Amino acid sequence: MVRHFRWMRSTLRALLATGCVAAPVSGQTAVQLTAGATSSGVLISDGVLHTKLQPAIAPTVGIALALPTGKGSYRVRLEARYSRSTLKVTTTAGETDNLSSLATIDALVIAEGPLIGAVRWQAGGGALFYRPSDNQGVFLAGPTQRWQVMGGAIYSTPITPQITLLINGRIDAHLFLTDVLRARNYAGSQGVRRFSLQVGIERKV
Amino acid sequence: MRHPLVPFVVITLACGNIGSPLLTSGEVYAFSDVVGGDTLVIHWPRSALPVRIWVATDSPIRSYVQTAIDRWQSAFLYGEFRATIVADSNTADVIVRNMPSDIGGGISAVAPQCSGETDLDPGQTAKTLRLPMHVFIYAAVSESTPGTATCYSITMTHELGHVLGLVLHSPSPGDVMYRNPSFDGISERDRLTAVTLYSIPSTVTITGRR
Repeated sequence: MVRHFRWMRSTLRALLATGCVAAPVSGQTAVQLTAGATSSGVLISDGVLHTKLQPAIAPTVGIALALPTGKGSYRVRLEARYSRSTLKVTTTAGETDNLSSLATIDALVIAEGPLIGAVRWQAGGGALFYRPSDNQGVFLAGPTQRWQVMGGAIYSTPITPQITLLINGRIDAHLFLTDVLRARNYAGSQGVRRFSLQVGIERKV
Repeated sequence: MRHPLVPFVVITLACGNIGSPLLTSGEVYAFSDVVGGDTLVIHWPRSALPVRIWVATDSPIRSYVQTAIDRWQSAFLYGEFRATIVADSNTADVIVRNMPSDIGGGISAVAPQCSGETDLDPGQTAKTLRLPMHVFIYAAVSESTPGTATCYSITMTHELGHVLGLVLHSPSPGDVMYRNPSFDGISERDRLTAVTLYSIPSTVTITGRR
């Protein structure tokens, strides 16, 4: 037990030390591959039909190109992400039901700058594409596209001279609405926030 | 970027709910029957979805069954009613046949070219409904008579409306649930009536699912 705690303490010390000294890669173009999960808020909270529509936690993969801006350690990231999960319905009567699967594709432009140590801030925006497996329900008219903003933090530490480990946490937001909802007189749109955690690697090119 | 916190502010603000349109009684027709003083509200529970419908593979009405399923499914936003055609009649919740009813006493629709009837088995008590349901659709004239295909389409959609729980007829000729329907599709009143039906609890238990 004592040995276990000692091991944890030394690991923690090593991680903190790495975090403090690791210089974020920023002066060179790099390709990043990430994998993780995305948790989405409700797409619709229907106050009249007492129903909520929400995607399940979705496995997510991403690819990004990080470009130096030439100004300090700031970078621009061009990123695409893909996630897919089941669309769940919950009613206030306690019924739950799994509908079709729902894929999302993010196309983002992200600015990145130093925050603290090996942690960098991220802020950006772009397009979010919803691709349902069946054209049913709120997606009766098929796929839809929304605009999103995002913010987050990314931790990076080199594991070889060429490869860097990345851990990225972020939150994004968009206003959800589809043509069917508009046609059926739904007013405004639903604010949706998503959280995601990704682990990946970066390779200089 | 000079203000990296801007996206976080936007994200914090993006928390509003969508405004759902109200369902008003003026936009719907009666859908629940009263039997022995009890109001019978019939709809399929989510646990019984998708409803399994059998129709013979060589039946001339098979394609209209699928059309009717697609039409009624599209009435709902949250998958409240879903149905699928199955290959085995022994596992079906609903059996559709291209012949006059050999059961009788069902809810019928009549048009010049064809007729339809849905037979609901009330089970042991008025508060139960026993499966399978039976739907009969048959030509009143020769199959090749002009208008028969459209009649099948309208009548199948009408009968599937009964299957999903609209047990009464609309008083308006513009609705597919009118007693002698001529509208080939689902009207806005049909849609809102079905949505309203599925927004309130069912008072009837469906039994005998195989």
